[in-house]
Amino acid sequence: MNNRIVTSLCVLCAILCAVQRAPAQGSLTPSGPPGPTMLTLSQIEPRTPITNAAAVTISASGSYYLTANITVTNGSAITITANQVTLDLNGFTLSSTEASPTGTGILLAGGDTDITILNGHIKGGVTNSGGVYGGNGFANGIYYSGSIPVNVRVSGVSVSGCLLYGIYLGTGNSTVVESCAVQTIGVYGIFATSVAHSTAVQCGTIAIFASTASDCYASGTGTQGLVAISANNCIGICSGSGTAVNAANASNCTGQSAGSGPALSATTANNCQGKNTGSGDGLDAVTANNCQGQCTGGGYGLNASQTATGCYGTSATGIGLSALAANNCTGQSGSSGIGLSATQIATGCYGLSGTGTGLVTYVANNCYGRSNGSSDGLYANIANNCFGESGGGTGLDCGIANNCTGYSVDTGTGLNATVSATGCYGFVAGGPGPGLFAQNGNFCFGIPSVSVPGNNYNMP
Amino acid sequence: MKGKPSASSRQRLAATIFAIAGCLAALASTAAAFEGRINAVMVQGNETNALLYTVGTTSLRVEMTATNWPNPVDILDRNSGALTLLFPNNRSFVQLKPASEAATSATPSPLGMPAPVGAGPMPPGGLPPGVGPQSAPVAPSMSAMPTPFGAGPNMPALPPGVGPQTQTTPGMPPMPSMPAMPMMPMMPAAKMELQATGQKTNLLGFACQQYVLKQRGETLEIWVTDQLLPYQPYVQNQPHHFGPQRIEEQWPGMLTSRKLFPLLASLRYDNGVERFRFEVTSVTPQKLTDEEAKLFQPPAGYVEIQPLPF
Repeated sequence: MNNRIVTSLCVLCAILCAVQRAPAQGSLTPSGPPGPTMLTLSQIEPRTPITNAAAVTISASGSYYLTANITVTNGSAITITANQVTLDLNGFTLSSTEASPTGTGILLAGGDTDITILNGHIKGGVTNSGGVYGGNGFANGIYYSGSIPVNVRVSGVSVSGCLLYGIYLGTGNSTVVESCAVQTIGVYGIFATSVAHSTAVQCGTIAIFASTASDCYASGTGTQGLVAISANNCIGICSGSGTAVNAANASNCTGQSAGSGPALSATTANNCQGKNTGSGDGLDAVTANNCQGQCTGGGYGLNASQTATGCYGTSATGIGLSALAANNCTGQSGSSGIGLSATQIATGCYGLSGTGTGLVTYVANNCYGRSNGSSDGLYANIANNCFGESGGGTGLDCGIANNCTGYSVDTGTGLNATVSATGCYGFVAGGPGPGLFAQNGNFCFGIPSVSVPGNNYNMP
Repeated sequence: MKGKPSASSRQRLAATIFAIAGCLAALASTAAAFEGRINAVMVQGNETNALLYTVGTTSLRVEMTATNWPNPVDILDRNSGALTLLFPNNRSFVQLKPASEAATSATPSPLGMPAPVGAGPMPPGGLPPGVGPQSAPVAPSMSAMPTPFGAGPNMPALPPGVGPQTQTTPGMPPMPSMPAMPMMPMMPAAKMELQATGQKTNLLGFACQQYVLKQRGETLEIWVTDQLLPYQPYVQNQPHHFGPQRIEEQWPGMLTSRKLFPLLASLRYDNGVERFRFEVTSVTPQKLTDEEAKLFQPPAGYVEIQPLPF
């Protein structure tokens, strides 16, 4: 007990000593009345709120944001008549119930400059029934009147159910649409200079039209899916009669259509794929590199008016792959079409046909052609280091053959060279042959027989 | 007995002359300005579409009549060449300038287009090294190639130097000079030209002559008449393809410039398979009524949309 008292006194003395040694804390008297230390409302939210639930016109530059949905019964929901305007829809929705749509969700009136529209929704009541568009709501989602706007960016906006245009900003004046979604639009889904990371589906005429389109998905019920000068990493679908992807330069794009137009049409196509389930071509290009084209009807699988390199084309009844010059390509026709047709030269190519000629070209180098029917396996004026085989026709049919092999399963000739054959081999498995016919032969071999009516040298 | 013709014979002669003149005038007017309707069918692969041409004196309307999908209607001003496309599916229309005017009014643009210039299974035992596609792309979801004949195992071994070689066989004696090749000519990427064959026939009562147009591996045979109107193809949309212009997209303009109308056109591959056909099924000369003249204007309530910039 005494020890406890002593201890407590010692602690108390220590505290008092410490307090006595502490410096002074200054005067406790206030120097004046208290002043404002908090941020102003304009400092916290420098933007202007739009609290209307009905139509609004923005006529002064600045940054605006919605605090509520806006619904109109006619006309436009928001009209912007000023330059340097940023409009944040703030997740709210603009909608219209206009019976005969004429209005626009956001109208850029009068050649606006420096406009940004963000984060929200524009919704009409237009529907699509078998490719026919009708109903109430907006005519357009985002649109302009008068001169084409300049420096416009639309980001994170969805538009649906409009009779004419979804997001229409024009091209050529720095207009950008990114990360937007558009659906059920009567005419053009998205129309801008640059469109990226966006989708447009159920669009009546063209889903996406842009100078540059990247990472987009465009699906049209009308005549075209995606039209662009440059299209990268895009997918186009056209359920109408037209083209799914139509671009001057298409890279890593896929087109799928069901009509008479080509699924993918491009001046230059790189790493692209086109599939047509109608009567049109799978992929059309002036120059095609590492592309695939497929046609389930009578069109070309892949048609390159100049050069095809590393390409694959297949057609149900038409020509599998056609090019002026084909390099390392494969063409296949399911029936009477030519498997691979190269007007001038084929190098390292493979052509296969059901009943038609497997591979046709003027000069064939290192090629393989095969016909499952009675047509020629490989037909060329000059064949070098090639292999042709046919079910019942001539395996390899040419003028000059060098180091080639021809094979016929049944009644045809294995290898037929109307001018000369050098270092060649012809073989007929089940027919009389001859295995090899050459007008002039040099170091050739044939089974069951060789026919060389002209000069022959070094024949085994 | 010779003598002055009687009054009645003079009247008969005059009547005959008037009748002949009338017929000639009628023929001339038919040739100069056909008015009426033309029905045609267009077959492309497995797709068949019926077309109706409604021909006025200054306007032309072309539309698909039997279709399960909405298609545009073309209205052509035959004087100016201006084309209007009606889109009934969204009640809109677009007016396109004549090709010549559009070309002259086009302004250079940084976005302008450069002008375009005009694996399956291997054979038995595998292809020799270097033969066939070396780096063909993978073909997902494509139908598999059929199995080859399997001739490889039955084929005897070739003597050295025979068959496909990876390199030219050394020591090979030179071949003697060969005769000229009586073979298919080299087919360069030449400009297509419409060529008259000289053949003539009569189709649906119209004197026709035949033209042919050839492109790589395809031949288009066209029977045309100059007694109707300059041909106007059915235009489905703008713009044209960036890719190569197919032959069926090029021949209409060649006829239009010659003021010819096709009664039959057939595009075939060189192996005979037809892949496109245009055939007129009926021609009905008919004076259009004022009510029918409205067919050449966009209907009330249609909204004009802006043409595509390229």
